[in-house]
Amino acid sequence: MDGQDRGDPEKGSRKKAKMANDDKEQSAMPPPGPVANVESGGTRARPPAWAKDLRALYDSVVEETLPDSFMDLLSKLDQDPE
Amino acid sequence: MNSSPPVDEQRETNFKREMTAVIPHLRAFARGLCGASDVADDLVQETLLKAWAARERFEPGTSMRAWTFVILRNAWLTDLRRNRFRGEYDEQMAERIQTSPAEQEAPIHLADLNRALQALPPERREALLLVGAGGFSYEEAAEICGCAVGTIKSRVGRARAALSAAIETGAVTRRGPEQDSKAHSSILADLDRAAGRKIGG
Repeated sequence: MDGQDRGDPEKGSRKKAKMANDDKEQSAMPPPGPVANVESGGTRARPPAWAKDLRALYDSVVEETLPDSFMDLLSKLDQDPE
Repeated sequence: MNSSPPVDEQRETNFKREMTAVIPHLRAFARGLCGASDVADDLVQETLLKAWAARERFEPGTSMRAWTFVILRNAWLTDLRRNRFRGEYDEQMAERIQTSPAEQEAPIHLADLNRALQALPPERREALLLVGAGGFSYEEAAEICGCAVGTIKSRVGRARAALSAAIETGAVTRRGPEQDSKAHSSILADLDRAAGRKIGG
């Protein structure tokens, strides 16, 4: 868009006004995030409200203390290399 | 023959350290897939044994998390095919969450979300977990699932739409003050409407 305008010096004042307008419009738009490349599957433009809950669900398990059974299993691997 | 050369020993030590480091992620992924923590932990233990047995095939420097997720996923699919979980399982799991809140460390709305998640078809649940919870890119998720990137995008999209719908329509019951206040404000809105137009203007 800007490239086309640049090749047209007579429209200087119009160009300036247009660019100012573009800037305003751009700053009013949400920043392009990972949502921008979700083009298929019928997802919305904005991530749903539960998206962070899903992450929290996952993280809550990651942060749990590891049950002893896992340590037992790991130590067995040491004892029995084959 | 002497014992194994130190290079291999070092490699094995590294492998084990890396594998140990991803156990919490394996548990989280498995919990999302299976719903119940005991079933999920069994699956993780099975995964660890398989990963250890296949450790020669792991390429150092590549993602241990992605590598073990593939193993976990395969074990999970095998279980699904055996129908160990399917059908009766969903109900059983939902009941367990409802009847034993003590086991559930997460707040109630997370348990609701988990229930909605378990109601999804397995391949969509898995895709959503990888991308939406595990933080994998579509490309990485596609590699883990052994399918096209477009397929993953479509599955994630459908899973998201289904979860949104379930939550919006109340198919996932939201209890607690939030719903009460919503009902309350809806009653107030009705009263306002009945009282005339002075409020709306």
